[in-house]
Amino acid sequence: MMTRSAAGPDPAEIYLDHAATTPVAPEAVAALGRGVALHGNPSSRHSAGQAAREAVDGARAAVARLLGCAHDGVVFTGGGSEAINLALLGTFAAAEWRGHLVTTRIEHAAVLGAAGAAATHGVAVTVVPPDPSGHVDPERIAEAIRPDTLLVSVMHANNETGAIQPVERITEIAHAAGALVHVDAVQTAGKLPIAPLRADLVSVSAHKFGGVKGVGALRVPAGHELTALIHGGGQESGYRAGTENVPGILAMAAAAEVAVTASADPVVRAHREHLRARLLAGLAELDGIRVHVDSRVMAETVSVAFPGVRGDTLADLLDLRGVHVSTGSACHAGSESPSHVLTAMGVPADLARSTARFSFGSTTTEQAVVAAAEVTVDSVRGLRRSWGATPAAVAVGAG
Amino acid sequence: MGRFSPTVVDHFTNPRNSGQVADASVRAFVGNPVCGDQILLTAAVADGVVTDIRFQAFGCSASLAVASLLTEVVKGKGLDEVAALDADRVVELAGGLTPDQRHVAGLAADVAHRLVDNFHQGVNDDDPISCGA
Repeated sequence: MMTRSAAGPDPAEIYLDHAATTPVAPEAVAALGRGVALHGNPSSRHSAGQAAREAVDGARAAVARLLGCAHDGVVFTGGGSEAINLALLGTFAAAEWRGHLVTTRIEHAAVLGAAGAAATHGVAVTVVPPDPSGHVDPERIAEAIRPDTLLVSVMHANNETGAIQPVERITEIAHAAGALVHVDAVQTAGKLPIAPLRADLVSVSAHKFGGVKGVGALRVPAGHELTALIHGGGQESGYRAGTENVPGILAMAAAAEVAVTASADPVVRAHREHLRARLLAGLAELDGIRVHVDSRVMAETVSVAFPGVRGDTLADLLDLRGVHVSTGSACHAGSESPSHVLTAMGVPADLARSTARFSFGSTTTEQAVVAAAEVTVDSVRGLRRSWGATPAAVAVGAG
Repeated sequence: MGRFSPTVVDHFTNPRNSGQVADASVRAFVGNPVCGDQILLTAAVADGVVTDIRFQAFGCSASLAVASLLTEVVKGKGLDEVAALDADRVVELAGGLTPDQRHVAGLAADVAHRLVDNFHQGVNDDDPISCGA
């Protein structure tokens, strides 16, 4: 059934997993090289060290523009998960583990894991479910906030479904109640504007917007009480010890400058919306598919259930045919448990397991998306034939 | 893809003998109908030999591949030979399976044995493959 010749054009290596990670931007590759050439330690007094320090300071200013804060409000970390852990655990550690945390069931494992760790220290945690639409109702957050709520942590957009959360309204509610707000902007940095966010703490990850893996940043407002998780030499204003990853930080800054420009470009935004429309139009040839979130959603992230097919099996087949997609969060790939995000939305387990995520980035072309849709349609039909699915059965399952 | 042997890739991407044998002599099903790996075999048997066989399967990539592989292996074989098939032999025929894939070899051996048992006992399994729809 499923030879490449039967599927039309060979889609050689169509990468549609940008929500997991995206190719390093050429500007970031160049910056990485400059960083590698700076052999001094930024903490050293000599001129080699000071050259590295100046480069890091320049990079900090660029990342500050991405985050919408003063340059001394940027704390570089070893990635998005570390930034998130620093935001949550650092805030509660500074409060001697007193107080209450509000978060949601659709957060990334980094937030949920940090919340669990905070709970073991005695922090009270309330986890708010989303609506079936995949969005968190701000009123549910309001109901969860208590007099002792110290922090509300909500993601800007969900990594699996792309659902954009009402973080500005949630921030208003939290601030009115005297609580701080952390926004996990790992998925949106470089795609949606994050500088205007009024949240106190904002976490990002470089490799999601064209930087390299292993570098992240946390926006920390002046005067915020935050205890370091990594102790040592006092780098990053004492919030994160360890010699700075100079090449990675320079690459992150270069990628941030490109991404800030692109995310503000209406032509780029229109192109991403067009890609989404073209993908969904192609997939619509299949019976019974369900798009999990199709309003208030990032154009770049398309989460689709294909009843009659297991998502992991479809992803394997697409991979063998040159199309790289995910079954959901890359962190969950390989897990047999259905997605905690889709489960929280009330999606039945069999539909959740039949889900694949397509995600776009700066290198995604319309031609690639159209070809990926064709290969997906052919692959789903082939897999459905393998177990004798009938269109009627598929349609019932999708209902 | 390094996760799969060339044989598994071949059968997964180009499955042989999918569907059901019309007027089958015997039907055998093994698997977890609650979203686990599932294989249904239908076969024609004449003079103790499997003359035709087809599969339907739902599950992971490796399970679909071994179901296809199984039909090629079993077709033309005597029921005694089919009954002697074990998981280790399926792993060997598949060109190797990783530890997280090896359960499908047991599934394939089980459904082959069930096919033989059902034929000897004159019973047939239903067609319970429904997961995902």
